[in-house]
Amino acid sequence: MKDSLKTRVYVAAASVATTALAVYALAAPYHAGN
Amino acid sequence: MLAPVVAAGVLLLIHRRRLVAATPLRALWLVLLVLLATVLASGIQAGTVVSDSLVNRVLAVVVLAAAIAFVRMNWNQQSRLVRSGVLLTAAGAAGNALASLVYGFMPVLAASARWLGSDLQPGDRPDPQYVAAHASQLPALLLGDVLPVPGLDAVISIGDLLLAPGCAILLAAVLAPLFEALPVPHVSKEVNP
Repeated sequence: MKDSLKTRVYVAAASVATTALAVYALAAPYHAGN
Repeated sequence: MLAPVVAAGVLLLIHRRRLVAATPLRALWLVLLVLLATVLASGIQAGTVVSDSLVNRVLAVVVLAAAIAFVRMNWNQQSRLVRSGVLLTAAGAAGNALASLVYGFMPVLAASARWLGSDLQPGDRPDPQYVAAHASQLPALLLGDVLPVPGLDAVISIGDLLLAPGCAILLAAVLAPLFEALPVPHVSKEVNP
C-alpha cells in the first residue's frame, strides 16, 4: 500500500468511525426515552 | 459515543511516543466481526421468526468469544498503556455480553430508568434488547445498565465505563503511527558539470 497522506487520512477516518460504531454496538446504553 | 474519540485525541497528544513504540495491535478484524454480528442480530430481531432472547444470547456468545480471542492475540503487547486498553475493552464487552447471556436481554435497573423519568417496571421489555430488572437481582446490579446519566438521559453499565477508556486507548494506538512523519521521497541531486 502506498504510504501517502491520503491513505493515512482514509485509515484514520475509518478507524474513528469504526471505534464510534463499536462503542455504540458494545455499550448500547439504555435510553430512558425508549 | 464520541467521548472515546475525543479521549483518543487527548491521549495522542500526551502519549504519542509511548503509543508509537507499542507492538502493533493484532486481530482488529474481530471488531468488524462483532459489528457485523450486531447488524445481523438487529436484522433478525426485526422479523418474528426467532425469539429475541435467543438472538441476544447468540450475539453475547460471539462477543464473549471475540473478547477472549482479542486478549489472547494481544497477550504479548509490550506497552502497558495499550495492554490496559485491550483488557479494559475486552472486560467491558464481556461484562455486557455476560449480562445478556444470563437474562437473554440486557437488564436495566427499573429504578434507575424511573429516576430519569421513564415509567419502566421490573419485568417490562421496552425493546428487543432490554429487560427491566429489580434491585434485588444481583447479576443485573453487577453487569446490567444501572447507572443513570442525566445529561445523556441514559442508563449505563459498569462494562460501559470500562469500554469507553479501553476503546479510546485502542483508537489512539491505531492512530499514533499515522501521525508519524511521512517518508521523504528520494530526490537525486543535480550536479553542475
